[in-house]
Amino acid sequence: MEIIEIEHLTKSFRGGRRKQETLAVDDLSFSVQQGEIFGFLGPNGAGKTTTLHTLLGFLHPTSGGGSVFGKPFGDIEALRRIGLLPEYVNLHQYYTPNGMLNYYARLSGLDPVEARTRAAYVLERLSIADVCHKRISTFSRGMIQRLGLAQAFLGDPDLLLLDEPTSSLDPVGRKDVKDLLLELKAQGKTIVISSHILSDIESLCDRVAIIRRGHLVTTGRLDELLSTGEGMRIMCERLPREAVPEIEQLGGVVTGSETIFEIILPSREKEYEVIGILRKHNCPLVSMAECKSSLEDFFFDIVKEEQPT
Amino acid sequence: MSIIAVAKDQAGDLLRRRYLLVIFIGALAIIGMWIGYLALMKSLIPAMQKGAQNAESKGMVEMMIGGLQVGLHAIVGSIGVLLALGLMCFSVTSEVSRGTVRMILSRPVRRYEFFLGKWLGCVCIVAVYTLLVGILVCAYTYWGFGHLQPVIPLSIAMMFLKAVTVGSVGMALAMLLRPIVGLLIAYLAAAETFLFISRFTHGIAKGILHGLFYALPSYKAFDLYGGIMNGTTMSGTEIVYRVAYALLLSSIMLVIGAAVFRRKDLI
Repeated sequence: MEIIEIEHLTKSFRGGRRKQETLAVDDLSFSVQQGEIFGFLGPNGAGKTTTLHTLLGFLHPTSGGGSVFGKPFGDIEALRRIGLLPEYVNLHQYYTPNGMLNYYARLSGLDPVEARTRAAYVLERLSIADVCHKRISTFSRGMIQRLGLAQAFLGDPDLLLLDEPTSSLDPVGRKDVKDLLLELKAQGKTIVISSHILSDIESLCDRVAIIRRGHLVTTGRLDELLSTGEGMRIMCERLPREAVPEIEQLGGVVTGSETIFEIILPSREKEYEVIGILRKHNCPLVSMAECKSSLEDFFFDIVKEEQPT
Repeated sequence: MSIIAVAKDQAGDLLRRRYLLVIFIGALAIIGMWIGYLALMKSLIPAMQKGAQNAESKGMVEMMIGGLQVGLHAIVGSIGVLLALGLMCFSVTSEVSRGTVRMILSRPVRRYEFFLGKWLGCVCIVAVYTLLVGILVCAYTYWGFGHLQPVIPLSIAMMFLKAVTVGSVGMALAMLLRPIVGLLIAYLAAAETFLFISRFTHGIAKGILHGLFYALPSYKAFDLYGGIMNGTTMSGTEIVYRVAYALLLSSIMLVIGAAVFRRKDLI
């Protein structure tokens, strides 16, 4: 089931003295399925935040559109089921976390008892329960980020839109948030993450969309996008020198130290022959996997391809 | 429900602001000084009246006292209007520029609910101001003159209506223009301003200014300076008309403001 559907979305702004038109999002189309963690990537100024803000109704599309939970962008019924963490978490500084969550709970239509229970849970889950009576104005950037996440999770939303969820967090905080997101995914929640921390995206997301200059460059399952489709990486121990020419004859490239060796095969055709050679020389096999590029490499390749010449 | 929550937040936020405290204290200080001046003048009345040769002179002394009372109401009213304008013109735009509006509107809150909530929060603060200065002015009048003319509390109530009406005009204009420009226009573009300027113009300019006089809202009906001078009050019907005028004008402005805000991109 499609939770978010974006169809030919275009958004332009007019600004400056000459009222020049800037195209922020250009004919963008993609969808997000229920229960998946979806990564929304792109360099700075690609149009990620504009897209997220459009589907929340903060911005009005210039053309095109789409739906969230089958409702038009910004629909109140859809907003009831959404939790947002904006890129810049701007909270009302005069509140304490308890006061702020109480205010947001009232806006979300939660009854007082449910609001208190949920607030206590999210504060505890994000390790800020011990500072819940302090003023937000005294908080560090990392604490504000945690509080921003707490308010996004407050209404137990079915869809979470998280813009840079792990920025400003320490490694422990990042792990906590990643664990929490995986827990929410297991509960069937849909999560959209826009982030520049590609390792987080790679470890969390099922599918990604990469946009550049407002238009979609690619979208798909992460394992499919990162798979080169051919090639194998074989790791083994104690590879004798005489075995190296035999492997190289099969097209393999051997690198490594005296204990661990990596063999890269350009295709899967010769993998059994290489395993035969390893057996012949009594080399213990450590691992064997399809060659995959990292999301970082993939992202850079895509962005480079799109660079203007 | 959302309107009340936003209004509560807005009023609470404003009450925590130091500048508002400064305005309140400043207003009370001005009133205190004015009252002190009035008390001094009043203490001089017997001597002045004794020295007065005829009824005309006595009348002039009384007129001077009345003028000072009107001045007090005019100052209190002007501060109220500026306070309402300052609060209402910046209430929505400050949330947009701070980015906090996104945290609110990502929840099931309609934009008009947010807009009305902000307005209501500001109205509450203006009401607190009116109540404070109203009590002070009424207490002084009762203490100083031995009785409280009905026109005094009525003038304070009309001052509140005027402040809310001008503030609502400013809030709507702040959606169309920059808030500070909206504030200035709402303050200056009362119909009487153009009627006053038209006295010094001729020809087409005079025609345009007269046109603006009839097109723009007038706040003059809320000033009861004549009544304070003469001690006369308004009839019930006149009060109802003024309340209805304030409600109608404020409602029209709120509808315009909310409609413009609804179409705005929250960048």
